[in-house]
Amino acid sequence: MSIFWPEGLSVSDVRSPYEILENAQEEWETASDGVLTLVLQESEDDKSIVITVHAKHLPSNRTATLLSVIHRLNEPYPVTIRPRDENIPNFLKKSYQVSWTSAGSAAAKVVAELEAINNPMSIKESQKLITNKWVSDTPSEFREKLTKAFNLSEVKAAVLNLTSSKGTLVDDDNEAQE
Amino acid sequence: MSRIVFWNVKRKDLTGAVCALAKSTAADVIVLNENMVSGSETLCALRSKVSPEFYIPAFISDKRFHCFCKNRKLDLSEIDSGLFRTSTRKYKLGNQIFLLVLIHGPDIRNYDAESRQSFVQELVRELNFVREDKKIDRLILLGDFNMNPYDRPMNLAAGLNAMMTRSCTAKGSRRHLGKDYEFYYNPMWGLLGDNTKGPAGTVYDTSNQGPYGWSMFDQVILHHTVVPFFQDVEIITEAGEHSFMDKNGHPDAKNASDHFPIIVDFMEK
Repeated sequence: MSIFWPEGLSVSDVRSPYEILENAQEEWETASDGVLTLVLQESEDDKSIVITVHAKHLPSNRTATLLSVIHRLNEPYPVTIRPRDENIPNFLKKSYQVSWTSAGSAAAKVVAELEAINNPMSIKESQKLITNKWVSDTPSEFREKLTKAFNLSEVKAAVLNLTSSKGTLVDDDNEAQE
Repeated sequence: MSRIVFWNVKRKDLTGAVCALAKSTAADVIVLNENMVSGSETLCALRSKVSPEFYIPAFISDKRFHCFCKNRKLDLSEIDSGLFRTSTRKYKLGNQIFLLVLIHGPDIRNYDAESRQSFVQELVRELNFVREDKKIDRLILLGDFNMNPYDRPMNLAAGLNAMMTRSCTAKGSRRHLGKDYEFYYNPMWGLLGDNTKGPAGTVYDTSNQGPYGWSMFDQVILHHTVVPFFQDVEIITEAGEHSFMDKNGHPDAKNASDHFPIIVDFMEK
């Protein structure tokens, strides 16, 4: 067993996040008997690529955004996932991790923690380590985390609701915009 | 004419006030944000106290917005549920189809300016997606943006590109760094300040989060193609026996919500 080879790295597995998402897309179409598909929406700014993943119910043409995947321009790894409904303040996240690397008074810690919550840019100054559980360094790690993101209860609920309308459905029509 | 009411009820049971609002405005559509009362309970109250014609249009997720409609011709079924804070509804007015995008922006207390700017970028991506996927340009954005009409993300070309007057949007788009950006019209500019018939905004806050006192967080913003169908927008301060305003003329956070409701009218063509 190799002890110097980087863990989780395989030179035969160099697929980009977009290619892995295309695999997921095929799997969704097969598993849903063609009723559901994933729509991959790629956009970029001057620093990063954002791939937004939408589930689409083909019979009704209704959609729900499931997650987005972000990496730097021309550098597919590391890559991070923003799962559905993850946009909540840090103090409400069960898994938000704070590790202290320097001693200080309890009051100073509270002040610094509040500062870090309100202003993430201050994390460096307050010498804290915030772990982002959705970042992947390799394709295999990305596959693993993508699987977890697709299995979140929020995603399952959105997909089920897409396929079975709640409320009162007004008959669909094919009217085009005039 | 079609009339839509939007109200952030701030996680309070304001069912009585909501019914009074529905009755006094004769609204076709009621959209509640942060409504902790179940949709079915609110519907029951609307049906018994206002009109038995109210129904809940089909939805994918009802976590952020509760939508009630009393005119089935308008449809209002949810056709896209965004990643975080949006819900897109099909809105039929006569033989025209619009997309009504309900929005709840990240709040000022828990999110800094950068996070809120990032939300607008996310929102613009979602708007581009729904426009392309549904092949409909006519977007009506309605909700609690937690931003003012003058905040940069609201009017940057690469942001919402929402302009102050109808005539600003007449050209349809503007070019920025080699790319065309379509205009939106933000009629809420016309309701800011003292020289208007209603209050100066929808929220009043003089803490460090509200440096201007009044803010216009609750807004309707229209894609330039929707402008000909837009009739009016108004801030509501009372309905029947319910006043939403305290003795100082601010939103009555104690007895109602810290947001005033807004009412938007569209006309058929």
